[in-house]
Amino acid sequence: MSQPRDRSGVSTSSALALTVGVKELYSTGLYSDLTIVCRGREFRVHKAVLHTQSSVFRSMLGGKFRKTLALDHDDPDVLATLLHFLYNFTCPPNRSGGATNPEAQASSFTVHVYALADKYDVPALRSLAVAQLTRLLDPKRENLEGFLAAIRAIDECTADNTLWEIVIPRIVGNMAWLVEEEGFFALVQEMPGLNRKLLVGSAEGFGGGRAKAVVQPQAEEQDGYYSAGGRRLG
Amino acid sequence: MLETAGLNGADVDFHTTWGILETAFREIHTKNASALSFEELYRNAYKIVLKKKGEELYNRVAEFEEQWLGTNVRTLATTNERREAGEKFLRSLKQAWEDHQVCMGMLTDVLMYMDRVYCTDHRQPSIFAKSMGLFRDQILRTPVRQGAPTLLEILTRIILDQIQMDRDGESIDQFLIKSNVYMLEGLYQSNQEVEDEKLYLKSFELEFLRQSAAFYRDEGERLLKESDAGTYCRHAKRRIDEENDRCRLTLSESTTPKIQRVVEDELIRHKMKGLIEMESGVAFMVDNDKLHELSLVFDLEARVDPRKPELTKAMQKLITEMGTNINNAAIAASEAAPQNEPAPAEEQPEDGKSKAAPAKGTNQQTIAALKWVEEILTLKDRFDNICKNSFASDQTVSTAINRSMADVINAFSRGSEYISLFIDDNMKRGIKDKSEAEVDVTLEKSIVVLRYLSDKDIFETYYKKHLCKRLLLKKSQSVEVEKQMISRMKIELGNSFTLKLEAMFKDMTLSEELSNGYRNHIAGMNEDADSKRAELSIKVLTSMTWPLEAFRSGIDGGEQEGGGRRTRIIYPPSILRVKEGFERFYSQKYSGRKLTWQNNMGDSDLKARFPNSRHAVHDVNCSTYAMLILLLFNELPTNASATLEEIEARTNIPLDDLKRNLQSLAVAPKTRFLVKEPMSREINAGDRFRWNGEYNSKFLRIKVGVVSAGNKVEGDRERKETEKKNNDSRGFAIEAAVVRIMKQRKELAHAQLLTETITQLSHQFRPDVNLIKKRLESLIEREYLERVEEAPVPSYRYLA
Repeated sequence: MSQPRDRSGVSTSSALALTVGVKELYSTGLYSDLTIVCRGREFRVHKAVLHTQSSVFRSMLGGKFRKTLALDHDDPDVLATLLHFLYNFTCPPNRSGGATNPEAQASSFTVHVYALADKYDVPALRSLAVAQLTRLLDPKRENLEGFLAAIRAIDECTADNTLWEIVIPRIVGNMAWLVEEEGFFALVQEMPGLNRKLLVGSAEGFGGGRAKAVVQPQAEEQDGYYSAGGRRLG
Repeated sequence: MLETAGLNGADVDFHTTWGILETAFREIHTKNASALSFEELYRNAYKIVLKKKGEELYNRVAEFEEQWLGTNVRTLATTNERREAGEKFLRSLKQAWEDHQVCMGMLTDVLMYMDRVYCTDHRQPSIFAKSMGLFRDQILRTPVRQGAPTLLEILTRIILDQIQMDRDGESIDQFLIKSNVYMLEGLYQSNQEVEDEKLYLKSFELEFLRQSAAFYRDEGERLLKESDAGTYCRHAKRRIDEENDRCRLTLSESTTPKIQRVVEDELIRHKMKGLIEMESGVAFMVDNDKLHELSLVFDLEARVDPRKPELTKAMQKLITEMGTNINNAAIAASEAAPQNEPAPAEEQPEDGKSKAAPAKGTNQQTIAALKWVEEILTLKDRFDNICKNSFASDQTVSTAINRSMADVINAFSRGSEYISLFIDDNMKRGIKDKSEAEVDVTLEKSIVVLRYLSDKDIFETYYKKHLCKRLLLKKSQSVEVEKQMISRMKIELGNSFTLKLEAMFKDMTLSEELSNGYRNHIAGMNEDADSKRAELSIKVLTSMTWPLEAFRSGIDGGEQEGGGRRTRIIYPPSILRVKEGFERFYSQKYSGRKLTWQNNMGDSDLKARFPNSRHAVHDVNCSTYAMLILLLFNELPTNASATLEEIEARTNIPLDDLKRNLQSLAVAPKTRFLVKEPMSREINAGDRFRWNGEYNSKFLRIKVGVVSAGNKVEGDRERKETEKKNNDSRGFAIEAAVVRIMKQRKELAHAQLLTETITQLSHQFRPDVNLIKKRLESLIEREYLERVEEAPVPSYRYLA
């Protein structure tokens, strides 16, 4: 007799109608009340959707400041992914766009998606990016370049430890052949913090949680790279 | 490759970026934010945090705010305003606080990423919270100048001043104060932001409560001196309402219960006693039926204590006082009575009218008894009314009132007797011409008083006695009502209580059947078919059920004892024949029963002829004894006389009864069938009597007064006897209870046995502990019980 309902008492078919409807609004641009411009690309969006899912957009749209619609400091492709997510709760399907090494690019792209989700405070997309990266990141000689690019991206544009927790065990696990690669050595020299991370990572592999507990606080004082150990995803 | 603009330049120049932010913050604080780009500011703050400079940024912001507050805001809030100008001060402080709130809201937006990433990870308070702490320290806690009070102290004083003005009836800007209270509620003692350490609670509220307590203490004392109790109540209630409103409109709702407690303490809890004892206090209100005022007092105390101890105490005291007055008045009336009242023996014949109106002899003592019951009922009604209308039928108070009523009633030693008399009087006269509903009310009244009585056994004794007389002397207006009363008592006091009373009614019914049976029996006998035969109406009373001693005159007391030793009355043959006839009839019906004739209780109808009277034949109703005396003169020659001694010898009537009957027949003017020589009131030895041939009366029916027939208050001797009898029967009841308990328990400690015995008997009476002890001794002597020698506490064992 009655329709199935989710925990808040909303009938699931109504929720579904809304979800589908919002997707359509984005793809058609109907009722769009805001246009975001990013390096020449325009995104026709809806304030309501932005407002409800990102505290940063909320402040940007509602504060007492001058309203800015240009987000020229963000990458348009990454931004497109973020906006797509706000309407669809998924990442857009394969967007490799004819790159030479799609798999390698995908890893570092996902890192950038994570960073943007972090910047605009969209926790669900962050989780999604973490899951995606965990799946994608698989260092092999063939895709070494992509792997190193992803590590560089993590270093460059994330402030916390979340992604490092994915990548460090993978480096440690493949140390046997990585040490033979020039590119890897260059990377290690380029990032002084990475050395320590690797050491801590190996220690965890041997000594478990205790070593982590002892080493981390020291590291925190010496190096900002270690600071985000306690963060949790929203 | 992807390009993430602004992040690629690996080094973010902190100083440049901070410079941008600082400039923007200054703009925000000076209310010029509209030109700023949120995206730009957020991005810059984000970049700094991303480059692990979060801590530096946080500290810079804090420094910036501290400086801003210290230099720009503090001067605004203080130097420009004189402290005296309270409202101005409040206004500028409110402004400073609200500005700070708004600005910090905007800063928080800009620094959102710092709060989210840096503050969370490093367990720092958010920049908003931090800046609120800075406001507290820089603005509120810093003295205006060295040695001067802090702004917080000044603020507290000003708000309290304003509240005082409000209490005095001057108008104040409630909203302005409320705004400042919001500020105090938004700030905490320390940066930890512990919920119950709000600045409002810790600094302002404490002071507010302290000052209010002092204010209301003084006000309460002043009002107790200057106004009356009713006004006081109204004032107190208004003050409480005012404070509630004040909390809602001016201060904080969280203060409501606390200030209410303060006002209740100072205006009610500590003043209740004084209020009740005021000249215009509770006693005055009760005296003058000020029900509304009483309800105010009740509401007031109910607020502070659900048991309402002071009011309850006051009500109990009043009942006790008023009740004691009633009791004392009744005692005084009954003691004053003997002097004013003519002896019943002399009074009775005087108004011995031909109509049946003997109960007119309600003497002053009886009046006192009726008055007592009525007044007790009035007292109860009065307080019930107060309880219902002023105290919302409060359980606690009404219980207390009932307890005091019971105390009053039981403190009066004649209560049992008086209640029984009250019923007696109503049964005989009161319910005459009353509707069923009215009768119901009367019966209910009796039950109401009866309910309070603890010595129900004494009441039973009196009731039996009074009922006995009503039944035998046919004084009851309605047997129906009598039975209703019994069934009411049955409901109220239980089956066992009414058992004997019901047996009395049964005897009455049986006797009627018996009389009819006998009449038919006589009619059926040919030999005795003469119409001159005296008719007999008989009441056969079961001797244990009926308190026949009630018929011994109250005046001559117990000098002639028991039926067995009573001298045999000499009956004239005509009467003797009837008597013996009935005895034969009865023994045929019930073999093995012994009839004892109670001549002193009987009466008889005679036909009398007096030659000079205007009626040829008078119907005379008189006592059995009087009949015997008159029949004696039938046998004497017309003018012959007989001395007292001769009459006594020929009838064997006990001397006292004889004297009193002769008084009725020869002294009382209206029924002077005999002539006495010498003529005097008293009957003395050697007096002579002869038939009064001159007797004349306009009435056809003449009733010869029966001495002491009515139920009256007992004389002292009678009372002592009743008490003694009562104590005896209580003794039996106690023994029975003890044996019942011991039979079941076999062994029991002394104290426990006492308690159980008292509980068992409580529905009959309150047993005296000494009496119980005596009975225990007696039971031990008679070997029903023995003491348990080895027991740690004194104990008894039951001996089967």
